[in-house]
Amino acid sequence: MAPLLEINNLKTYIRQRQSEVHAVDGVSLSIEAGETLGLVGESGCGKTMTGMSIMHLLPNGGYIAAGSIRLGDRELVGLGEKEMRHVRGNDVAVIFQDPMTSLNPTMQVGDQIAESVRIHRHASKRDALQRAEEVLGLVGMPRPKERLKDYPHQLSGGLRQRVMIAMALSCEPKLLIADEPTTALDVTIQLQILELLYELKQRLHMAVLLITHDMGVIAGRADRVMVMYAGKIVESASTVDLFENMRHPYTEALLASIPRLDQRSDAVLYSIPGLPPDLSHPPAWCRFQPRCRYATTRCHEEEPLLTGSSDHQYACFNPVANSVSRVGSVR
Amino acid sequence: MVKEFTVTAGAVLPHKIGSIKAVSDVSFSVGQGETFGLVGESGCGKTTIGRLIVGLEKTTSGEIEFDGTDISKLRGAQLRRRRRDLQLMFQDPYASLNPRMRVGSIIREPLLVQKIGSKAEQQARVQQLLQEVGLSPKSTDLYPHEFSGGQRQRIGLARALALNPKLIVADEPVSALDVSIRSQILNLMNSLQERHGLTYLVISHDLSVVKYLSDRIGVMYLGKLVEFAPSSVLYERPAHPYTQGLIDAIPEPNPTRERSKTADPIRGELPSALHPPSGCRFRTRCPRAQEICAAVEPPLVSFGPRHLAACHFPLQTPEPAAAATA
Repeated sequence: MAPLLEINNLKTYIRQRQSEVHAVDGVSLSIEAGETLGLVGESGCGKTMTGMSIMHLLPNGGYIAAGSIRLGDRELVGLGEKEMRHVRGNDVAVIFQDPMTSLNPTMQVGDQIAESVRIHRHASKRDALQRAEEVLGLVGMPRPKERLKDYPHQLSGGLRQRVMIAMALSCEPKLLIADEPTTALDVTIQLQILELLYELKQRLHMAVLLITHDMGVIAGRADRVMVMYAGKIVESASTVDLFENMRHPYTEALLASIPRLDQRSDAVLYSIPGLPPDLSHPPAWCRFQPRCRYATTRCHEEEPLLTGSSDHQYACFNPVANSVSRVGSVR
Repeated sequence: MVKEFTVTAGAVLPHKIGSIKAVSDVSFSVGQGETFGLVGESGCGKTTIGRLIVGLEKTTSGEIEFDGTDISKLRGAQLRRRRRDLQLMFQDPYASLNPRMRVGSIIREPLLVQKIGSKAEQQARVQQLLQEVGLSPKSTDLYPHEFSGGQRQRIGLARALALNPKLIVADEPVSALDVSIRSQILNLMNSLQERHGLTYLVISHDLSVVKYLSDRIGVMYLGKLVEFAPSSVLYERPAHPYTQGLIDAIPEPNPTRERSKTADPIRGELPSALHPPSGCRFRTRCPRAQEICAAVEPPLVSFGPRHLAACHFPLQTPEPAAAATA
């Protein structure tokens, strides 16, 4: 079966006054229907830009420099604004991190959800509101009918995020991009929202691109994971395989630097020296090499490409040995 | 213990349509050189406690004893002198540094306010502080925007250390930072504590961060302390259903364990602090709640050495000796 979404060698750059930021620099990925792909990395690694490139929602100066994004049998790169408007909300929907700033504070939530149904499905106002009530019920909003007339400020963070999800699902998209969907929420609410997303994905057979910085969120919810660093994919594997047999030093360092509940608290945490690189002047060759403790001369003479088997790829000349116990022993 | 801080506060923040008890009858003590962690969801009152301790808010009733004196009653010059010992480390390294001041002046400001040392001495102290937190001595002439989030948090820490405080209240010290930077700051906080014998009050919503830093942890829910215990005990044998729910809700970077979790998650949302539920405040979301929970507020009961929890149907068996104080 052909994948639902296939991105090939995507390059998204952002023009600035004096330089050009290579936010996404040659990313390839694919997602099948009903699959959750986790995209994990630190801020500024290009994970959000990858998601926003699919939607053509780039910041000022941002443009897709090269590559292709295929949704089903349709090429999205080069598509005009008018056609993109049909794709957005209809085929692909997005949930943002902060539900307060991404909802319109002057509109009742029912009208906001109904809006996209009216535009994409050409439904009457009454039918659209009917649909809004239906999806609010679907996302577990208590008393959906009464909530239709609420304004966003009357809802808590968790309920607002449910409204965002309802809005995203109102036109039954094939692909849902969830960009840090739970980062602004409390842990108990985070768990509820993540469970809801998982359940809806199963029920509606949607593909989900889950973008997050939180390895814990990825661990529970994604089928496959891609780790991004400085605009490039550095490792890609099934979730269990990634956590048990990580090969890229960045993945290993990232996991070792998280304080864990089952860890003794007198242990010193591993910390990655230095800072992520400036993407307008990324380091030549391996981009993690200045912060990597396994770096050799080859790492700044040649660029490591993704290698390994088709289900577990990594871009490193000195991959971490295949063993689980290493994580704990990193110092 | 040489020093003890006792907080008994009932802070009523004035509000147009009523009053919110942000912190309601909370008592705990922190020993010198110890790290006490306060954990809870947003709106549970943990930040208010931090602000009460450093004197940014006034208590409605109750006292905060620091080093033998009740600091909640101090005013004017006495309060200003006391503030040398109590410093705050803020969550947001972007909002807590004045963007128009050079880093040197930011770190020097507490020394100026407290009129400590000559200009040369103050400048030497700034250099020494920069070195301690791992920043280059040249940083003094730069502005905050020239630094990354992690470096700014180091500047904040240097400013907090300038007056040689005894207690640092760290309110969400790493929440705004990236994972790879977080561990640098956590390790720095630990090493500074060892070097200077600092006492920390760490406030965070992130139980794994609090557990990593703290010796003892207090769990708050809607203005009440519902459980406190030494940090390993809290994680291994939590007595309060809320603590258990909080532990279960934390996504662990371990797919096998994450997927085998079967525990009943906490349902629903945090009730309004304006009208907290009667009896036990957690009962509306508690899987174990029964009739008595709505009628009677559970007292703090001992579950072992320095382990207290307030629940009618706890997950552990309480010690026979009934209600105790920490």
